Amino acid sequence: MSVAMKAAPMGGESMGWRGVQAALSAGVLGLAGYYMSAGWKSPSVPTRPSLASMEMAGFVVLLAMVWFSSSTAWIIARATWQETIRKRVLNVILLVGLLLVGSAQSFSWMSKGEEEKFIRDFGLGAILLVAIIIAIVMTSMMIPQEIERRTVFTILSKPVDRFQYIFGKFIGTCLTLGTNLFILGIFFCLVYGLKRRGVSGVDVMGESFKNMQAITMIFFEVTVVAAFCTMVSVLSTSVIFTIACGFFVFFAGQMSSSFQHLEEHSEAAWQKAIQAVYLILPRLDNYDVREKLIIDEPIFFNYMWHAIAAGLVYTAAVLVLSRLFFNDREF
Amino acid sequence: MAETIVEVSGLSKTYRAFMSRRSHRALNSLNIDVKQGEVFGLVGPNGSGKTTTLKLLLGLLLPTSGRVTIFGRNPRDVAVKHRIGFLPDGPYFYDHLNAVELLDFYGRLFGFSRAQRKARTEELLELVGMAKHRHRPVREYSKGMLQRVGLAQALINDPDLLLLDEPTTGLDPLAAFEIKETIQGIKNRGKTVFICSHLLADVQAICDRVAILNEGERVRFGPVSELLAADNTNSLEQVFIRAVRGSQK
Repeated sequence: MSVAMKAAPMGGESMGWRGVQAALSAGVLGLAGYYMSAGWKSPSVPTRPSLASMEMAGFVVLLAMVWFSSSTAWIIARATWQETIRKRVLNVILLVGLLLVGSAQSFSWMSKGEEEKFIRDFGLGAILLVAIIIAIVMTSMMIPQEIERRTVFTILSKPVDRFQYIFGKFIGTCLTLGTNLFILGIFFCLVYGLKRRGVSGVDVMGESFKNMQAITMIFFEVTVVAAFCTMVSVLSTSVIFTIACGFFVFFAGQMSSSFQHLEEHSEAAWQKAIQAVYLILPRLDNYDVREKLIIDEPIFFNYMWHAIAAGLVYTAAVLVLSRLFFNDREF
Repeated sequence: MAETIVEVSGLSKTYRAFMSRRSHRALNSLNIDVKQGEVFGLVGPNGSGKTTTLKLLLGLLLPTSGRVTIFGRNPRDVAVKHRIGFLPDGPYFYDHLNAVELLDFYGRLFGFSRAQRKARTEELLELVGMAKHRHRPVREYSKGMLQRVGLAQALINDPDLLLLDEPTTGLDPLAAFEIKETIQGIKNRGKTVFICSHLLADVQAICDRVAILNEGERVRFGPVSELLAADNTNSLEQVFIRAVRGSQK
């Protein structure tokens, strides 16, 4: 081996990345501006002041995520995405999801109206189940596996801040979830469209759009749980514990409104504890729009954005906590 | 006088098990310094605290007490990371990538342009003798090949300080010789190399100064020639055995 190496060039945040950041920021600001000009508001959905502040907070978080991210975080995200989409266990889960969604085609003994409702309920339920399993399993294993295999040593010995690492891993997870949900969503729309094709008075494109709205909500719901699992995986050395926490948050979050009722109807001594659990849990039931679809109620964008914004704020808080915990993590 | 690149003073590390009173002191008041342009060896038996020291130098562990600086800064400082390269013991990489993609990934972390990454990757693959295996996935590599590609990733930024953990362990004699030759070449270019190893013949052949650790304590420290002269021997192995046995009495 000869060692006549040329000096390596000096690195840094590239101008190209700054351009991407500026474009993304402009996109978020444009979206916020359009939103505020009441383009998405619907008179049938009342807008309370607290609702508006959460919506604004969502835009601020989105903007902060774009602005504080770096090309480094995106490089790690890309590598994470490339690695996870090749994972056999996740591919098998995706395949099971496709089979479940496809099997909805075989429910043909019901009456026409019932069948349509069932396919939507069953199909979207299957997609949610598959997405949450992928999100929890993937995020629970991701960082512990990198520590165990010592891949993290070579990455953190490069100019990578620990937040960039956590954020990159999380974005990579979101990209994988997005890819899987896109495949499942397209397949579901195809199955649903085939079933509804030829039925008079049915706008297949319009119904597919509504289905995709529901799948978008599923995406944001599972990313909130993924962020939570990322935080637990940084703290815990047990993958099983992280998976258990993930499923607990998912199921408890799905029932978060029940905690509010429980709080109102319980004794004073219990009220504080229930209130604390209610405050910590993400409001995952806000993302469930299956009922709206089944009763053919429209899903307004301001309803969607309110739930998404609350999820973004929750995700940002959880990622900041993850960074604090990960800062003291030793390998 | 050569600039001090690594300064370790009064460095101690105690591992504590979670929710337990049990603790293990891996390193006890270690003092060492590494000067610019030298090859420094940290040697010791298994469990002597070599890898703990290396992890403290990289900021992967936090000291219980004492101080570590690299280029006068905290090892966790991202600016420090721009100037160092690290080869872990038994390196493991994203195994779906091939050698070119792997080096491209690490080059991206330094913010190099596409052209810079391409040129650097070609140069390093030639250097470590992996050019003909460039398109094979990492999962198909032997231990020696992983070590070579690991060295290439450690050199991607042409580091001023290269930290190597057991760089020749498990390699065939030719591969071990070539890695030693590379280290010598890096030193000749004025770079600093810090090696953790228990292969004393290799350390004696390439290091200017060494520190011998035993059970977390520094038991010998100084230029190889002086340590050999003090023990009236020409073998670092003899110095090592006397130092370790002496410290156990």
